[in-house]
Amino acid sequence: MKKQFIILSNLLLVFFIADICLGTVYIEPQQVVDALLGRENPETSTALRYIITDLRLPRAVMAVFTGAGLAVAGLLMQTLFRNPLAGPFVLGISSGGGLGVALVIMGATALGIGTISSFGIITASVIGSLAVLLLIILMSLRIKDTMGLLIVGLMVGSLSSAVVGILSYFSSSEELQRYVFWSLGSLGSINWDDLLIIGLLFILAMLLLLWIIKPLNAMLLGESYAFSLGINIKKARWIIIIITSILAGSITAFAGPIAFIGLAVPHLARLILPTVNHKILIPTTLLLGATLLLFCDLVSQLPFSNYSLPINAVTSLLGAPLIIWLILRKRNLHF
Amino acid sequence: MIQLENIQVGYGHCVVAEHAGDLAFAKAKLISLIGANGSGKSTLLRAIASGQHLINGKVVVENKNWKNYTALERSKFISIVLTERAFSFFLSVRELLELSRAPYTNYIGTLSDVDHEIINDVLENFDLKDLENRRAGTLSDGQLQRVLIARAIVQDTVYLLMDEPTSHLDINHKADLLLLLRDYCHKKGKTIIYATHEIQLALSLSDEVVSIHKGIIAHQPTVDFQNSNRLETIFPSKNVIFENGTMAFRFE
Repeated sequence: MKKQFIILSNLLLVFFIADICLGTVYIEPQQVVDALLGRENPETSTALRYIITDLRLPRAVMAVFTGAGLAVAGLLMQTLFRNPLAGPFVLGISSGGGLGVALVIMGATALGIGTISSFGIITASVIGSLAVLLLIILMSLRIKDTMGLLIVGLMVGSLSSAVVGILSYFSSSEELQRYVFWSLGSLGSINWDDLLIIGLLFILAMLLLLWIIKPLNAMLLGESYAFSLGINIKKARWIIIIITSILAGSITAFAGPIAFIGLAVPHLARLILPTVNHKILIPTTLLLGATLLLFCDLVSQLPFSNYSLPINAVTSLLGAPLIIWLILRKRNLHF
Repeated sequence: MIQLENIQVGYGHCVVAEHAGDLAFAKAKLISLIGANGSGKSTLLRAIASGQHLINGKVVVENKNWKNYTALERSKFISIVLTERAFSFFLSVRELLELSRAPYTNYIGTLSDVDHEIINDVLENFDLKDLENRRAGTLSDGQLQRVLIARAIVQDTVYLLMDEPTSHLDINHKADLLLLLRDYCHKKGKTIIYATHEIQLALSLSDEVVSIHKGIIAHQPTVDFQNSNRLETIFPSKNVIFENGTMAFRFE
């Protein structure tokens, strides 16, 4: 178990540095390390320094937050719904964000507002995610059955897609392209102010997470047994939903809906540990999620070329075969 | 002591089983719960354990209304064995037992030496030592059933409510396990109320019998129950004969 942590941490570090080194312009690892540690390096020009600290570093940090956050959110949903197919977006949070973005991009011209800035898109996504979050929390007050909540989440997702479908049917090709670009995800358009917000929310989520490790473990026995062990299921369910919403909501707002990481990483973590004890599973999932998304980001930049791929396509291209491989190897997936 | 005062259990407004007056379950007893399919055995057990399906009446544990206990206090008085299997099949037998010490561990679930000792003892007593590292998903139904019973014992409560704990077990395991549970009750001062369809085993091993027939709950010492002809009324069949506490099939 300790061995896995050390390997993963080192891997994370290597990918992190590599993610900054590689891109359209190659930067020497030594230069990157020097810049990160604040040391002067005569070979690093001002322009290169700017690329490192203001373009690639925020991008790599965002990849870490996104990978770690979505992976742990996926784990929470799998445990809560006792369903190995659950992911961070099953409650419809990304669909809500998508609906918000679709409304401002495609609705803006209809209302005669003109083109919307990227800040407007982020705000719309936050509001959309928050609206769905509130809806789900209100529903969870009424719905006692956890599975019922899962179905409601899926329905909210369907409703959002329907509205997005109608909007795109009536929108111009330019607007449609903007929406598609958002939905393909991007880690690149992040600045340090955005990262501060995400970082604070991430820390908040991690603190809340400490509070529910024991309930999460008890939930592995099923809700009836967890209840008989003195676990306050209702409270735990609330906190789980809130943590997932904070993580999935904020990440979707800034990076778009990133697929597969949240579904695949928890399974991979269970496989390499192998345990379902959240005390060990959560740190592993965080590390593995961050490492994997850094890797996906590396691939998506198509190093040494002038092209890049959308991050969402890369995570799916790598994630889907990964899940299939897991199923072939283990024959079945557990929560 | 668990007391049930004028209880009615069921779903919504539909009463499945009831008892006018008090029912009291003392400590150090193995009590079997008998009734035909759908008579409300599981419902009664759930009503006692969680208050679910309790339409009217009161459950009193150690002279205090069960409603007024916190969830954590409850978990130290009553543990359960259910027929549902909604747990993660990825859990190892040992992990499953470790999680059941939750009422006694800190906020993050750290196990003490005492916890480990209790788990080791139970693994030994229930003949599960060889299975401790096996995942729940790889066990047979009968092995899993023994693990679930061990799980309830690990929780170390005064009262244990079990819904058909001997189902899926081989006949030798059924007999051995029930004897083990009876000794556990008598030696440690625990009370087990368990729903069962194994009439003969129930009659030979349990101290008391709770029977449900036509919605009426009755509670008698096993001897009185045997002498009361109640078995014939609960399980009427011309092919099953009950005589002096034994049961036989007779096909014409």
